Amino acid sequence: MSSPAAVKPGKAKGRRYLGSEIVFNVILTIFVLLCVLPVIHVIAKSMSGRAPVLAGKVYLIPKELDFNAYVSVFNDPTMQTSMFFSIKWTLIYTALAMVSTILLAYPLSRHYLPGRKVLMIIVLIPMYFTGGTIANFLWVKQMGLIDSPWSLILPIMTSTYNTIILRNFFESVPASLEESAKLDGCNDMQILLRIILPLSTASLATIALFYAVARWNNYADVRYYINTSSKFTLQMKLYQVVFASSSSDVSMVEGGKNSVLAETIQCAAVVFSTVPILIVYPFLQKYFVQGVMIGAVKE
Amino acid sequence: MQKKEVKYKRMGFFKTIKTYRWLYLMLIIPLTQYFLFRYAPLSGLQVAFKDFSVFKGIAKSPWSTPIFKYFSEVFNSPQFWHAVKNTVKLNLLDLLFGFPMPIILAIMLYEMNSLKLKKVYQTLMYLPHFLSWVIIGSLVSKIFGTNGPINNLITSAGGQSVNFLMDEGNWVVMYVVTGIWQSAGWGTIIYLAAISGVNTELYEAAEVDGCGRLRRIWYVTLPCIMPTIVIMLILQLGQMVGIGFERPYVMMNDMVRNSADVISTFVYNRGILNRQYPFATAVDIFGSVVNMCFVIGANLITRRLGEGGLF
Repeated sequence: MSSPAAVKPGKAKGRRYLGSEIVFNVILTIFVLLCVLPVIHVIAKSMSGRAPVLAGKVYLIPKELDFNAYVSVFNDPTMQTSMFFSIKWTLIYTALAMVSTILLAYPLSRHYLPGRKVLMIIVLIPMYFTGGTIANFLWVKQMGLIDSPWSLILPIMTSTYNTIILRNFFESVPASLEESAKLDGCNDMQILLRIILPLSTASLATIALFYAVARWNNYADVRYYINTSSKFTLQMKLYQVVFASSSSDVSMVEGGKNSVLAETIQCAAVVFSTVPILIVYPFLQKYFVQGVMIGAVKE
Repeated sequence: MQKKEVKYKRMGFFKTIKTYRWLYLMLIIPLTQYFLFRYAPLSGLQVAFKDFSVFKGIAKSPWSTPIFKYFSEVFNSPQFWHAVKNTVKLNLLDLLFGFPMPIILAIMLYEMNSLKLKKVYQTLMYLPHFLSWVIIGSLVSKIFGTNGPINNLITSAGGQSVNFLMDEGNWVVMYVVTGIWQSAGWGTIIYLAAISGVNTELYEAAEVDGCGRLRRIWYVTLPCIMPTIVIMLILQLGQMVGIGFERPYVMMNDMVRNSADVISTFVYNRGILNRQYPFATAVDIFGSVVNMCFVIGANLITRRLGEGGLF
């Protein structure tokens, strides 16, 4: 904006562009509805009774409210295992990834550090050139990590993208704070822990959420590296429930005393694995635009 | 952003290490991770040139004769070319239909009069970006399946139910639409930022010259955000031969395998499922080399056009 007084044209004069205003709003509304309606439909179906689902009468409002699908999903031991496994390793991953990212971003943000340029190149090259699926797979195999939860953590522990976002945040902390701390005899580690980190809690929260969501949603590496079903993440489990409907788990649940439709159970499973994202989404929403913007303005 | 040049005196190697020891110590963990899991795996690329045996390991497996044996195998494989064709086709469709969507949406959002509504719309639009592909794939199969609401609507209106997911032609449409659904809203962020950076005096000047809203968008907004559009275009062109694994894999079913098998799923099938490691690695190498060429080429062209490249 050139000046705070500048008003967007057309905005001050109420109905100047009424025609285009209506068209734009209609198109946007349709798009937004399309974004949300599928989710609402699945939620509605997940808590509807057997008959309306079979008859295909459930659209956006649940009919004959019935929570047995959720009971089945919650009581399914493999579902529970996957949920706990996912939560546990998402937390471990987020914690480790944050440590690694902070420890990389901070030195990168100190422009006086000799060797910073080389460091930056080392960090950037893998963004453009990677070994590819098989080379990475063979390496994980060689490290003996196949079928270990660590294979889901170590290879993706530091995201270059997140590192650059965090580096930019660190750079914006006034240098005078660091200088005065140095005069007081703090070393760089103390400065990072006592001054820089407390000042960047918001950005740290953003990055942590980025990591958590990425780990939570990632499916490919579980498919590549994990073979034992007790180590399946929720996404992997969900894939089995929804797409491999002949699998024993689903029919087992379906054949239970409640005789809930597989269709409804699948919908409940989808909602079940979406809820964690929906819980953190408001927090994410608050910061992520800022994060994306800063990340986009790469040097 | 503050970037004060702090001058430091040139000092000896050991003095440097000592002065900045804490900063260098911090780097141990992240750099170990980078070397161990980003650089070291590159050594696996040599598998494409070796008669790899799991028992002998990468280093001890003999070099294949001729050295490009697996590459010629790849290039002689009709399934490989099929996967390449599918990848390029799906990416081109994404580019054609998916690329302009966030630009259009961002312009409309910017032109919205109600700021409150705009906020709500943005929040809802970003949501699909945070759902995993497995969840999105499940949603698609629920919505467009034979017993899904769309088909129910069609049949209750007296129409014939449509096989959205099992028919190859329809599947491609679904694939592209799902991609737009997932990323168009999120994609607006970058364009909205670019648009709000446009000097409003230009708008006023356009109004004085008698431009309506649409002409103002066409003659002022679009040219002003062209550099951003070009950068995003280069980034997307750089992915021309790469497709993430999850989206096609999750949406695929046996009926559409013919149009859905792309390079990433092909590599997964051949390499990880069937353990043809040298063959699959050769495909990987082909992919990254072609992608590199695309990035560099797109960058070169945009520089020639005077839009300023990415690097």
